[in-house]
Amino acid sequence: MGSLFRFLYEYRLFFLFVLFEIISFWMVINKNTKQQIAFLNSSNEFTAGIMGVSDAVSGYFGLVQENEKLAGENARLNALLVKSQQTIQKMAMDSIKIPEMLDQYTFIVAKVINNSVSRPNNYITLNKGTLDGIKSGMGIISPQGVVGRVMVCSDHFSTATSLLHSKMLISAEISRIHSSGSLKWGGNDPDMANLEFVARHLKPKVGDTVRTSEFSNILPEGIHVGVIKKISLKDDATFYNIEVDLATDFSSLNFVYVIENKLKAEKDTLQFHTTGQTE
Amino acid sequence: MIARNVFQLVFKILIYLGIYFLVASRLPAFHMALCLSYTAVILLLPIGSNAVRTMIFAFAIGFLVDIFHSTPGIHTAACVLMAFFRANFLNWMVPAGGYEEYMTISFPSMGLKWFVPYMLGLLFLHHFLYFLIDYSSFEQIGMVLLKTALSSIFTFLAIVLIQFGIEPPKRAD
Repeated sequence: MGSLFRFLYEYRLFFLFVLFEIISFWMVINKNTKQQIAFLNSSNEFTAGIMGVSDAVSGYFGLVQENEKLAGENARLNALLVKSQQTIQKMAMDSIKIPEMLDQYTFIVAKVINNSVSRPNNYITLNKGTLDGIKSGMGIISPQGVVGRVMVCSDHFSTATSLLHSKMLISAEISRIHSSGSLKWGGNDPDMANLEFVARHLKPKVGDTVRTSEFSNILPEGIHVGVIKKISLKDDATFYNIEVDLATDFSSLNFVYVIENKLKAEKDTLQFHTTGQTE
Repeated sequence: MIARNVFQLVFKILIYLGIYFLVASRLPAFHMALCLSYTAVILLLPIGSNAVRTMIFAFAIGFLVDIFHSTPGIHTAACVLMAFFRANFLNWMVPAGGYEEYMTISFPSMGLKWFVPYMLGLLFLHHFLYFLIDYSSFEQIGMVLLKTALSSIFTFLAIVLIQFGIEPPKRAD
């Protein structure tokens, strides 16, 4: 017995190493369970606090670009306002009023306080949480285009799956020919994504705009996604290989809009009753 | 005397961690190389540090960084691996005449021939395990190796710069 203890003591460094590695890998493997996410997550107050400070430090270096972006967005919103006023006038002439349809989406402004683009699965941390009305599953857009989907929320912070994530699919369509497909990130370049399931009888062109389609449950229809940069079609393939140049610059995300779809629950329930499954 | 050294050490560790959390963790170069400069707090511990305590320290640091990045276990595993090999590296690389009391792990003190292989070797091990778990597949092994190599060099340069900044080499008067 004594020699066993002496042996253990002699190689204590190695045994400690093995023990620690087992604990680490256990954490890696278990990271998908709910409790683990809630506990070991950057939406907890302590780390989010540090990130807030860190963001305040680095925020100063991007003020010029940020100003330009905001000015650009102002212009875009002004144009949108004019357009929507015209639509409202048209609607006013109609006798049937459906208030929920006119006001289906609400936008909540949030600031990105932590973000990554170089990992195989990227996440975003936002500085608003459940107290600001953010719930898990809401869509996120930036002034430039699509960003991702909210995953977990605490009272004041939330973490979201970025579009740059291997499990993230967004329903998108090529606006010119109205052919929809799934947008999925390739895994390496944060500026490019692939549009999958565009059938070979369609004729997409390089330079076509890609927008979110009306099939999406989390994002409104018509949000800008990007522009087609490369198209290829193998002889025996059913679908095109389409590479989309993403409009959103994920490496400099700053302010984003979290979108609440007020009719999501209703649509989900209806689809569940019909097909017995949710998305 | 000893209390002063401990105070200095804790202070330095806080500076390295502060620089990492506030600046370096946001510096991915060309979407390829990460700057994991927090590894300095384990790499640059005094040569005489107890190996077992170093490993417990590495576990704690890895866990802290994991919470920060919400990547449970990845940094911890890489840090513990690095701490284990640090003890071995220090044994393998004993300079002729053994380690002296005044030696610290920095390139003015140990010389390039000792410092560069020590740092790059351990950083490579750390980064390799980190990216391997992150991608969790051997299919993209080329990508993992490329990122490991680039990030090791990037982190190494960053640590050398930070070290020059906060502990300027003393002039030999």
